[in-house]
Amino acid sequence: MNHPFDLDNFESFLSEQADQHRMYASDGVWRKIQDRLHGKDRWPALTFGAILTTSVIAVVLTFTYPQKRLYNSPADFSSVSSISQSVARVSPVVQSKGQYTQSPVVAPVALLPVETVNYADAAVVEIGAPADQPFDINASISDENGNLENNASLPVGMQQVEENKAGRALTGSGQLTEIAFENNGKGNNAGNHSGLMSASNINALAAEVESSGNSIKADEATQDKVVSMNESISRNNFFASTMAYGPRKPGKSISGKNRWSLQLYATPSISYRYMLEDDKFTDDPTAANGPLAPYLTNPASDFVQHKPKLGLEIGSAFIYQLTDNFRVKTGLQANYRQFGIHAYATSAQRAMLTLNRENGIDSIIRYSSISTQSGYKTMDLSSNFLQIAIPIGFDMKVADTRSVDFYVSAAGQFTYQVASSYYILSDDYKNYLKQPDIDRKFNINTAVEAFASFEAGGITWQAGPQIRYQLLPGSKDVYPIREHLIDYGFKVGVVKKLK
Amino acid sequence: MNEDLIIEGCLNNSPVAQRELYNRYSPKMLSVCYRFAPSREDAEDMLQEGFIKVFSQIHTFQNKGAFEGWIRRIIVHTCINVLKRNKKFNDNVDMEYAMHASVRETIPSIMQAKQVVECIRLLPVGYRTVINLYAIEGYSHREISEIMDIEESTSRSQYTRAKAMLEQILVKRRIIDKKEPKPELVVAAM
Repeated sequence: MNHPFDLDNFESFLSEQADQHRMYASDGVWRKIQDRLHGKDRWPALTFGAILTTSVIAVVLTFTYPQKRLYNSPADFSSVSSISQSVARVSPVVQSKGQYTQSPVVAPVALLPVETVNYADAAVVEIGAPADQPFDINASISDENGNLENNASLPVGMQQVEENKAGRALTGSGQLTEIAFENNGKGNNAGNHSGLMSASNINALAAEVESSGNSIKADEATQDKVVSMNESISRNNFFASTMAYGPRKPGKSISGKNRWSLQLYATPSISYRYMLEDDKFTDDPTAANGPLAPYLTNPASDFVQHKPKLGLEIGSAFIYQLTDNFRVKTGLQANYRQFGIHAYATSAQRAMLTLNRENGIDSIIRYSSISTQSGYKTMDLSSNFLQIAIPIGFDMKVADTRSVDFYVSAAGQFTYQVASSYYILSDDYKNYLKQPDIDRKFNINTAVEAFASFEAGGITWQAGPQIRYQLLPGSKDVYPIREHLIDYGFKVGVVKKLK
Repeated sequence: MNEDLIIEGCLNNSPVAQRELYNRYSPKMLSVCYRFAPSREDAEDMLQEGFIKVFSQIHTFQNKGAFEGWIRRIIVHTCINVLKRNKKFNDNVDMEYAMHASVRETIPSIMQAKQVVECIRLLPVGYRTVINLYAIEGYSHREISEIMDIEESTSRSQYTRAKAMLEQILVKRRIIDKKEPKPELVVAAM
């Protein structure tokens, strides 16, 4: 171990030792040098993808919903969404001026904006009408006799009521309230009915009215009750600050076959790999000759030069909608992944591969003409993988606007490797080899993604970034270097409801 | 790709040639930087700065000497400049630390070169620089005095002390054997 040291040869000793020493810089050093020399790398594919996606969304929004505004604050409408789950049915309907019969009226429970009512005619109250309808907050509305006038500020969120005939149904946003009142000449007392109706009030009213049968006139007491209710609630108009909001996107009923969708997707991606030395192997004292290059203290990844390459994931999945915001999915997909390796052609060199098999260390001596460090010419290798996978995962809606929903998604992919061309490192990291019998056939990948979803042309489109990570190493456990793949992709998919 | 092609490519600002040159010489040059630098990160910074100089000044290389030697001189000067800029030469000498600091236990004993380099790095920065320049890079004390802006005599005395200190460290680490005094001849009295 000890060097026969002679102070007379001190300089030559140090020089000799120092000259034998090598260190390998991290990838970042070269990138910084390159950036300084040639400017920063551009990533045209990503830029192009981002521009394309933005353009598609913009075009879809422009041409699909030209007249409708997006919510300023969708969260404010969540309460409406929830309360609209249950409705009370109220049945008075105007037949003509001053004449009322009954027809089904649907009113959302809890606080809802109620239309201005002109008692001179039918009173049809629409909740959440399109925001593009003009609304004059200081509208002065009078009945036919001119004795009904109201200059009070109307609750916001209301739409100006047009005169409606009996039985007319308005379906502004899927939440409809029709309330018809028998006007027996007291309309001037009632004035302009505007405001909000509470769930309990509506329910009480519904019960009261329905108890009188379907084709009976609502009695005056009932009408007065409704009128007084509306007036009182309108003073505490919850939607006073939501004037600018349009209606909520119509809800879609989810039931039976309607829950199933078919998704087709493709994900262009670029694959990177990173390498780790297997802790189990390094802790094993019998692995003294293991492929961990003991005289090189740098990690294996410092000895190789990776180059990402374009891959593709395509597949289809069945989606089952569990709730409005949550759905699960599974299907079948094919992955083509690849990454490049910068190497050098060299004369055949002896390369040892040590495998940690169950019955002990297995040393395999091979010859390789591919060097990681130097050679008579450079060469670019490519490790390729063709896989099929069964992804099982979920999508969760995290936000939405009128026309675009935003999801996050995660999936586990049970993967079988159909074919591969895969280079591994020799013990001393100096050579590349192929050893197909240690390639791992079954693997597990995880994928996380975020995407925007929007409808166009009768189908739902979705697009967003995806990251995929291979949990198990590309080689079996006998090989002491763990090599994991990680893919960065941009997923584009279409979803069609199954009939 | 041979060296002439690499140089020609670098003169034409070819990224491929530059990468080739970097791949070929960066392991050795990083080792040089590492001997001067206080840490690996600093060494990589020095390497980066040095290679940028190499690429930007490659037109000044005149094929009069070894290309590697030319690169090495640029790298060494870059290291010295970085140390000067950071006033590292003024660091206090912590002899006690240098004598007792352990070399990483994970380094196998066969890695003598690595151990020697680590021992050099245990020296105070001034000593280390002089040892590197004189014993390894082959600079004369006169050149060292110019590079480091010190007196030539200072360079000599620093080198003597550094050499003694390094020897102690190497012996302590059992990298070298302690030099035994030569046995004196005993002349039997007649």
